[in-house]
Amino acid sequence: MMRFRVDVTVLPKDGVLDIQGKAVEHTLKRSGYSAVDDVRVGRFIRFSVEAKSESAAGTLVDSAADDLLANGLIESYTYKLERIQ
Amino acid sequence: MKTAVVVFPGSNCDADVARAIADSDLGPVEMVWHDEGDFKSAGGPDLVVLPGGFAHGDYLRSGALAAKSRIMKAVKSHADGGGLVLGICNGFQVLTEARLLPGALLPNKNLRFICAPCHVRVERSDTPFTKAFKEGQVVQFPIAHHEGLYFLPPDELAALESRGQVVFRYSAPAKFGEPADAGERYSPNGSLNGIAGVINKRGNVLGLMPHPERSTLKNLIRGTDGRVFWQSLGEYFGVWGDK
Repeated sequence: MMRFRVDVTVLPKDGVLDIQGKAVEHTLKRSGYSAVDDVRVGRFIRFSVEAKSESAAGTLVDSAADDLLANGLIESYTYKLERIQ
Repeated sequence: MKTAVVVFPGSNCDADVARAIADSDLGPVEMVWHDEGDFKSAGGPDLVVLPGGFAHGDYLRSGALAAKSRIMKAVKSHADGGGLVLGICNGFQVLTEARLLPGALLPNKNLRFICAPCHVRVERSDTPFTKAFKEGQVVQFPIAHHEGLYFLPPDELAALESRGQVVFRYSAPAKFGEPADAGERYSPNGSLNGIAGVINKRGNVLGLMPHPERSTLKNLIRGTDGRVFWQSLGEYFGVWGDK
């Protein structure tokens, strides 16, 4: 068995009102970061997982993300796997 | 009529709902801890209530962790069998996360927790939850939430509306003799189309952000419009006919 570190990033989908992102963008711009655009605020979730292969780990992460970590109606997710054992 | 009120860690309107139902003479109320596998009352409850609060601290997303509670399997099979399920505020969020109701509740447009009285128009009086109201009637229920902006993608929102699944809509106060205006501009939270409460296609699962149980007891806060909500359920189950 192998162990992977999983970094999941969850973001509001395009078209879903992201009030937090708007507020952060507004404040950044007012603070002089006028070049900043398209701010989205989401969540970052890190865990480790044991699996037979990288693809098996990926299948498990997809399932966990669809089931709980992201709400597919309003959020999308991406993840990175890194083998640690 | 038997009612079960589910108690999650962080629920804080469970006792209020139980009190409102008791005060409305609707029969026995069973409190069920979220980690139970089933309801205790023989034959099961007629109505299951998911109360307001901050179940599991609202961690991850409001209602997301509660939707995975053990008791939710029993709630789902109750709903699948046609039993009535009511989600108020956080309970509504749990029902959307459990996919028992369509949509999602996003943070309020002003990014603030809003605790205020508000007006809602009753869009349908042909549901078990609203049959004692008049269609188009404006009632005052308080709201108290941070995530109450009802969201669905545009095509699904249009389909929801065309199927008549919107039961409560934020509105202007009623004016005597005139139909009340309702819609998004009256949403205190930015809710799309002013949606405050929706029902499933089958008509047995209702979720709403406003709190009818907080406008039930006399001399508590302004108004007792919530009494009519419980009266609807009493009429539906013929509670007072038995006396």
